[in-house]
Amino acid sequence: MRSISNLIRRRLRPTLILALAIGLAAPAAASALNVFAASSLREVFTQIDPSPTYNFGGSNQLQLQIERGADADVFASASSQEPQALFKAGKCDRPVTFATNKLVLIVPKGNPGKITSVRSLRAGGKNLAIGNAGVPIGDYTRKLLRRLGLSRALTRNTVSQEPNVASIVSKVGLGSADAGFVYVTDAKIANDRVQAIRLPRYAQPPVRYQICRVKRNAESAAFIAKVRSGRGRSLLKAAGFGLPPKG
Amino acid sequence: MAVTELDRGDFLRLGAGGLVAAAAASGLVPATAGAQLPPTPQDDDVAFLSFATAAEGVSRDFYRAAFKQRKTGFSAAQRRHINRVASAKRAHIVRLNAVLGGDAPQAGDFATVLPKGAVKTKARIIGLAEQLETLLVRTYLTGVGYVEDSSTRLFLGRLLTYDAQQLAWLRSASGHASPGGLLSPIDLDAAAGELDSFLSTPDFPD
Repeated sequence: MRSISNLIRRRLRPTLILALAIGLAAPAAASALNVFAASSLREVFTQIDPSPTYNFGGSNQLQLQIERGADADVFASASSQEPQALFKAGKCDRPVTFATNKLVLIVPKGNPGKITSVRSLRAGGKNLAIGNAGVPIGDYTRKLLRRLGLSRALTRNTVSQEPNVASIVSKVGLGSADAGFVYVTDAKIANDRVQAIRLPRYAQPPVRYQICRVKRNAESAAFIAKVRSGRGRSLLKAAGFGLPPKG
Repeated sequence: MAVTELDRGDFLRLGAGGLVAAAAASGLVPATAGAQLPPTPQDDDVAFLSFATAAEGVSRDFYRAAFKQRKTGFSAAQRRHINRVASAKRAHIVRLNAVLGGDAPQAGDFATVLPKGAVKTKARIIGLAEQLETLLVRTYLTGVGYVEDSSTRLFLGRLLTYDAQQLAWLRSASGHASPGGLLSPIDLDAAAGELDSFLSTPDFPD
């Protein structure tokens, strides 16, 4: 009996320790790549590559985190402003555009606020969810409203300002807001809870998603290559994003 | 009293303030009216200007395409007129964008989409041009009625005058003796819906 015990101690313990070490190391290796990405990319990025550790949020918040030294390998933003600022500060490689998007007005299913067009917001008295100023969705919304001559909609209605597009969808989907401005791709994902109202093309601000390497390693380059590959583009297209010409 | 006429070229070149100043200089209006301020659109006024710059852009692209197309059945004089209209539309856009400032659309925000065969024949060109000018005239009519800033209203009024003249020319070129009744103002929502069929968002599926 003692000899069996000794055998386990002598032969199996190193093996168990090794297996344990590998077991602990394996998850770390799987999530070695940290991708900071705009909230609106959550669904499609996890389809393109589920293995990285993702940090989804408002692009401006992610930019701030990277500026303060957060451990990001890749940064994908819902506008060019944030990655270009990081590039100018020497904190990421030259960004490239990999997708485009458009804005829509969403209302809860059943449209309890009876909003039939963006101009319905002129009358006021509605609960409106928009992005904070500084978050791409918030800036795009303000630009769109200015072009439509509807900036006063932000004072005539009760406006809740959200940190990212996911919060806007959530608010409208739950019926806490009568309407909200989001990307067409978000409206598509939540089409069981919200319905989309088209906005005039002439008023649409150009929405361009840019991606850059924060760390110059092979993994970050491989991730960006996946996003820009034929499969990545197909998945982006299927999710409702627009695509820039290949290049 | 001798009255100095402002021809269409002067009319197009002058800004809203400049028009009044020139009229004052020529003795048409008292000199004090020359103090007309440049357009300072208020919130809702911007909507008409934003719409106008996109719609004038579509019509400029259309007239350019129509001018480039030969053997459509237009006389040489008519073709020269179409070319002049394309230039005038370009001038309208430059001025509209100057008034819009930072809110003016940038190159690549949207692109013009013309129906297939839109400039193939004289009849098609006139038909589509009438549709575009009618849309512009009806929107400007609404704008003149609703904008708050008086200089912006004057500016829209001048655009309205030009496009109404162009509409009359088109109807004359098509053989219609006179415009078929007065046009009614159009709601911006409806106008935007109509304009959307001539616009696309670059790099985005429709």
